[in-house]
Amino acid sequence: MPSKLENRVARITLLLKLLLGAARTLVNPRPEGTIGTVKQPRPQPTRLRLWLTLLLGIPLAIPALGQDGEATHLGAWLHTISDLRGPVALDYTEGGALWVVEADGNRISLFGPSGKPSRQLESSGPWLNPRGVAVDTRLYVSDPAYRRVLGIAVEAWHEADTVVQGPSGLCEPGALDAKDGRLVIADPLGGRVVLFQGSKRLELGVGLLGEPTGVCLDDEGGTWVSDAARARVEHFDPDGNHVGGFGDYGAFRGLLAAPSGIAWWNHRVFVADRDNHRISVHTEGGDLLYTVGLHALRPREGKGLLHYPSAIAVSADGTRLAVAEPLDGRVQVFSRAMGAEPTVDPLRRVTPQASAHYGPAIRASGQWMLLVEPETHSVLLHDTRRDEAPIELTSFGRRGSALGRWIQPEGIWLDLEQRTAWVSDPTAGILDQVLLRIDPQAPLNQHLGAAAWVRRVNLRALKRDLGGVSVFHDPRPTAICRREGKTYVIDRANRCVLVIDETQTCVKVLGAGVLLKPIDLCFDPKGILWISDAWQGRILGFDPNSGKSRGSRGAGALQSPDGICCDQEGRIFVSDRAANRVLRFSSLGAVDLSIGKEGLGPEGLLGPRGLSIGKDGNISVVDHGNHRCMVFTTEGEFVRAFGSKLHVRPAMQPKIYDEWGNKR
Amino acid sequence: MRRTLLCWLCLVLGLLWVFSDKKPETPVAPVPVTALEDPWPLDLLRHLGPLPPLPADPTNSVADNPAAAHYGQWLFFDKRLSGDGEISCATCHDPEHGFADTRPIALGKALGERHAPTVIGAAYQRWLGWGGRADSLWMQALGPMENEVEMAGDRQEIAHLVRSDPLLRQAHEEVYGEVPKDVDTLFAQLGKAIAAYERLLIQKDSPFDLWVRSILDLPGGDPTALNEEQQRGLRIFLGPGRCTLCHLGPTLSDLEFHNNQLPTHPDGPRDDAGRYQGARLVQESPFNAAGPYSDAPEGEAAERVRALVQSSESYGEFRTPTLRNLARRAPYGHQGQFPDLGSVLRFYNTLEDQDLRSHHQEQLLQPLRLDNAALGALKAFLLALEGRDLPGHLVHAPVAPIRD
Amino acid sequence: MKASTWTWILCLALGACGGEETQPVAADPPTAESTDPKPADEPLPLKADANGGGFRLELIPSPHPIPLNRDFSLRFRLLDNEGQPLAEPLKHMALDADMPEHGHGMKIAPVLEEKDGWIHASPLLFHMPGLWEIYVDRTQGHVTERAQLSFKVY
Repeated sequence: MPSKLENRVARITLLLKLLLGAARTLVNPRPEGTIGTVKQPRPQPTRLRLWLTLLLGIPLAIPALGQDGEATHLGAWLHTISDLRGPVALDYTEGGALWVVEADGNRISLFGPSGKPSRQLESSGPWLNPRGVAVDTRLYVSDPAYRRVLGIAVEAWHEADTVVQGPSGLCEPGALDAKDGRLVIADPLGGRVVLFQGSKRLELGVGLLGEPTGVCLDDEGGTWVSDAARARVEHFDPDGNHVGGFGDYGAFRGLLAAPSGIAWWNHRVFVADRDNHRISVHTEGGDLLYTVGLHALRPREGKGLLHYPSAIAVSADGTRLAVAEPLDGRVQVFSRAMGAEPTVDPLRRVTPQASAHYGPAIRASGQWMLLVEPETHSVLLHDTRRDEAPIELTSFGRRGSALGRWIQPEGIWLDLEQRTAWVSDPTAGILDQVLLRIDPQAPLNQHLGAAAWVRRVNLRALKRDLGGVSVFHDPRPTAICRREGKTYVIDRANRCVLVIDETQTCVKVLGAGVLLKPIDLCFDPKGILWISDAWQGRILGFDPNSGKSRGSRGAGALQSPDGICCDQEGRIFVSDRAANRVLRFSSLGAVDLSIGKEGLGPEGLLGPRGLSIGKDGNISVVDHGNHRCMVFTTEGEFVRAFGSKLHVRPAMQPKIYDEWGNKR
Repeated sequence: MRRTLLCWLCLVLGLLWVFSDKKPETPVAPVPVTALEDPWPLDLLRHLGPLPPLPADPTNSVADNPAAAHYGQWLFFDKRLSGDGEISCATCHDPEHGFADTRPIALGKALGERHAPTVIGAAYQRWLGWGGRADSLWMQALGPMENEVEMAGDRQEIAHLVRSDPLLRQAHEEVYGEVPKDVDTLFAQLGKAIAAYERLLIQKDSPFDLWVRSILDLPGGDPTALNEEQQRGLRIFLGPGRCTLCHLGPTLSDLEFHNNQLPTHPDGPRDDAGRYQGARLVQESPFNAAGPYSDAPEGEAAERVRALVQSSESYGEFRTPTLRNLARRAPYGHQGQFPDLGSVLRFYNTLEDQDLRSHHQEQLLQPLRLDNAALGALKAFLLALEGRDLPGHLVHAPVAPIRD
Repeated sequence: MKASTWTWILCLALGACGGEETQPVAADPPTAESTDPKPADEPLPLKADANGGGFRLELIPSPHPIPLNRDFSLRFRLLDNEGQPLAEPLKHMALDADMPEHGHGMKIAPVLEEKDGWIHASPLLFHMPGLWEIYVDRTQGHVTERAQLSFKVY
């Protein structure tokens, strides 16, 4: 029964809402019947406004119509192709249709110029997990699981020619481009780009490129490469010589942060500036012409707002720009616009900590918790002793290549008793050991500068001789696990686990030849090492001493296993990134619980990545696509969420905010 | 009836206040009067004053040559150095205005991108220009002469002018012995003469300097030079104002570069690379301290410019300006975006207009949230940094390039 | 009477819950625990063990104490755990400095030069007051280890 006070407050609030609504109507006319609503639909233009637009617009439009085609911006949002399963690569056909690779759906789809799907090449094709696509006279698809690129004639796509195969040829082919009989392949884990022309094969950028994420060919036979690790775009001539480049790391206009896709059209270079959430368009000399898209801050915002644009394509006639956003499962298509590029709406004030960008990895040890923050290239240490959200104690590391800096930290491990953290940087091929000079019993406080680097192990300097095993590719260390003084680190390039002892020597290699895409690893109480393999869709167990296989779990149940952790009862929790849930395996190996589903509410997950079990016995999951961490009990009950305010609200206050983050 | 009306009136006012946008400032308790009797942090004060003697500039062999200074003074006011003969250094660095500009964005041949900073005391700076594009006074003097939006001149034409004008030729020979054939050497020599003049533009003995001398037991001090309010302002400057993080040094500047996310002026560019561009320019230029025209290519300044780190972390960083002699040179800021001292202090007090471009930017600043009395005291102290006026003969063009 | 009393209470209640969340004014952050910055009168050479214990560092800044915002230089050498000098080629050594509380380092990069058994580094510049750390990194094979010293510069 509401009290009198509540009644009065409610009445006053309603009165105010009515007054505000009335004021808004006077200032900005809206369709009838919507007074007092908080969220308003886009208003339909009234007849008067249409006439005014025509009267004023025609004299303004005439000079615009006469503009030279080259001067136009590609920046007006046209439509969105939604409900895609991890779109990671795009290419336009000559006719303006768009091929989209849906990595999580294991398929390649063709969309017409209006955005309607026209055909799909499903997963019963010859590839295991498609990653890149290019259209020339044939369709080329990169199949990184088998380290190869397939060339297929679309009509007979079940039978493919292999363009290049073999462990020493390519490490993990990703983005592709093909034009006039030339095919260029980006190999991010191999740190190079491979160009094929007829029987000629050239390697571009060896020793220069850090992480080539995107490639494209221009009309003169040159190659343009976007390098996410070095925040640069590099240009190679038709003979493969490095002739120029531009770019530097940062968030300001003209600077790049993790450029992930690239396209060339009419002497314009289009770069998908992924971590700046925009497309930047440059001259070939590197001068910025304009940018497309603004940072989407609210969950699932689109319509010209971008969220980690990772691949782009420009149509042959230059009238369409397609941008793939894998986390949001969509491709946004932009058309030509005259006039000003998007500017920041003054009402959308960007505040600090507007959005937490927690990386894939999370590790807990006692009351401490470690998280990677990829966009600041740093690692965060939190204390979880309070029941509310964890408190950040310190952060360490920043961008660079010297000791104390990382190109991109990825794997972490935390040992509270030793007050030490281990961090891996796959692009640099290094493993760091960092001392955290904080007393865990001290009262909660911020400890700036508490980290002291102890040592760095450079796995590349081992010259591909790991534990007596000769490997083909420079190691790319990612996830880390430690037990009994040894460090177990996943090497994504050589698809194995390296065992490093106290003398910093690699004494053993596990899982080589068996693993395809190892993501994370953990030990169970019996001492078996479990590794999640995203491309095999299961977790595999190994004896760490003998290296023998100890079985596998989850085949058929897991789509894209990512993070993995084990509780003291031997139950293994695996996050299934593409299925937006966490599965629990009993100690006998069967799936006995599924936690989470796609969404933003208390059960919502989007692309869950790393997992860890904390001191309180709860599981913390990095809800990567939702910019937050979710904490569940081992039985799957939601405990709390922390991270970006906009994304935490729907989980922590489900009565006020709905599944999509809007106020009810 | 009256009571009910009064209640409703209060309710409405209360609601208006509740729903108004203005954030209430949380005032910090003003520094109590008793704090004036606390001991002064002498180490910190020694960093701020008194103004030390002018540092030597070994890269400029005529830096302290009076004939060169006279010649340089002529050149400073000589409009013939510009392309159209209408603009001299003094056009933007106006002596009437503290040798700075009244316009927020400097207007030379065309509208520029930044405010023309003061030349007074510039001899104490390590880097010249808001982005630090020059590492010596003489190098800085050369840039604007050829910049197409500043003076739009050309060194060939300027060299021709010096050779053909008998008075200029004579002045040049008096300082350097001869007019060199190499245009670049001649150009550098002109800059060095201008720098010799600029080194004389020092306003000494501000009330703060006199007061600090007495506190530090140095001769020539005056303990009454700062009144109570100014002393209170100094305490805020050293304490809760946190100004000394960057405004530390005899010019009350750390001589280095910071990005404070200042708002931009409507007439100025929203994106200005600042130090990111300036560091590249100064390192690449042949006129820097390590170059062939420097008189000390192995000296400290040369070592420093060679060791300069180029990093995009310095994007948008601008030089910490000196706080001396503020009174006559409003507006403030690298784009003159602050019309007066009050607006500068208000910005740092609330950080309301901070132009944050991305939520990943470093933020060293915290809003000060000082009350109006404290801000007034701070402003009073800042105005106490005003030195004695320059000698009259230094603030206008001399009669001739040569001394009588 | 009752209505107006309630209204008064409402005014107070609404007035009390007005305004945006004010950000707390952060106090100056405390320095890291066990940082031990070297005091100004510490005798030279300054000494530190490597963070992982593999070697020892001796360092002499010039001038000492390190001045604020003025170029300075230093020389250092590495010793093994018995105190004997280590003969490490210059290319295996690196020196850098940082302000860990501010998250930035120096604006200039010193040049290292070997002379008389010591490695000389110049120029260095600590341009802001506060806590600075100097790092000396030594690479042996595929492992790099670090020794460091902290300084409070004012």
